[in-house]
Amino acid sequence: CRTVPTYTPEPYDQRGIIEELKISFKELLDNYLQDEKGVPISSQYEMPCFTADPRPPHYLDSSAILPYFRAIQPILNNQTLDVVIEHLDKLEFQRAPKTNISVPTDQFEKKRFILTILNQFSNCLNSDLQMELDSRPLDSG
Amino acid sequence: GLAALPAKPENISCVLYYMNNFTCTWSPEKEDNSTSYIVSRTYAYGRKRDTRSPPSENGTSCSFFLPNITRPDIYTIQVEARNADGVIQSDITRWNLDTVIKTEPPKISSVKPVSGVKRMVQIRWVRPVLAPKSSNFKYILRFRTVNSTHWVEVNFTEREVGKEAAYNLTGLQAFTEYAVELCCVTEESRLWSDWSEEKRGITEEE
Repeated sequence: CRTVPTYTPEPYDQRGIIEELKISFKELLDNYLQDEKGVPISSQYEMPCFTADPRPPHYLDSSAILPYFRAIQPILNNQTLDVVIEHLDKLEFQRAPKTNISVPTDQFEKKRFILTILNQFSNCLNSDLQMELDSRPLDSG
Repeated sequence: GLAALPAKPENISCVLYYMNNFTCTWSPEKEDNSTSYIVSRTYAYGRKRDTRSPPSENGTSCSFFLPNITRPDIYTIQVEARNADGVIQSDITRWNLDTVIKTEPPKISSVKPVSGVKRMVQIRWVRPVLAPKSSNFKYILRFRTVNSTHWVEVNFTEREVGKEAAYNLTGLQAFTEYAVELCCVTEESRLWSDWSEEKRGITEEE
């Protein structure tokens, strides 16, 4: 079976992926906040954001984020999270070495970790990422 | 007896039934029960790969399901046919999901005259619920007087992202009942929805 090339989604497609990612992630975060009322965020955990390739057209790269979402996937066992990860997979620009993120074992601390990760990713999606996308050409190639 | 490889699978055709499944069909129709098929898919822009076999009873159709279907994406699909005498593979086909999205038809909520406006009805409808939120829609609206069989079609694009949309159909006959149907397609797809259910309304008296 001939090997199939990996495509890097063009900026127009990356924009489409981010739009769909925002919709799915908002649903995920809203549901988690609803389910885990009162759990505080922790400054103890820090998750990186998207990085952008320095060379035009500055492809976004989710490889630093994915290990965190893969770490919480078996804990949440949630289809919306699966869809979020599917979108992040498409933005994995360079195959980073497998990074294992350790998740706290204590139940309450585990929830704090998850909420902190989700909250930081929410900031990722909204802040400089939007400026980054707005500064790019819109042509669909 | 003479070895007889299965026929090479061809005419692969795929549809993304949005938020439902991604279904491919191919020909030739099932030759005989001794031929089985495996469909290989790559997705996430080629980063991932999986395979599925069609349920035996309708051998030449196969579906992939959520959550491993997210648009936008580029898939490749290859179908392998196998019988006792050997294996043969189809060509690798490439699919941009946005071009093969098919949604449910829109739901017309009303066909009514606008008070004081003659020879016109306003059609109001609800966009398909299962549709990409960020997509614009193209529409075909067809109408006829209820005692005619001749449909007239109107094409337009609707950018409004709200749930309900409206279109004013003008140049009609006064005090006449019309039947209206609507179908839609996302702007980048080539696969139109089925026609909506028919809805009727009467224009104002002259």
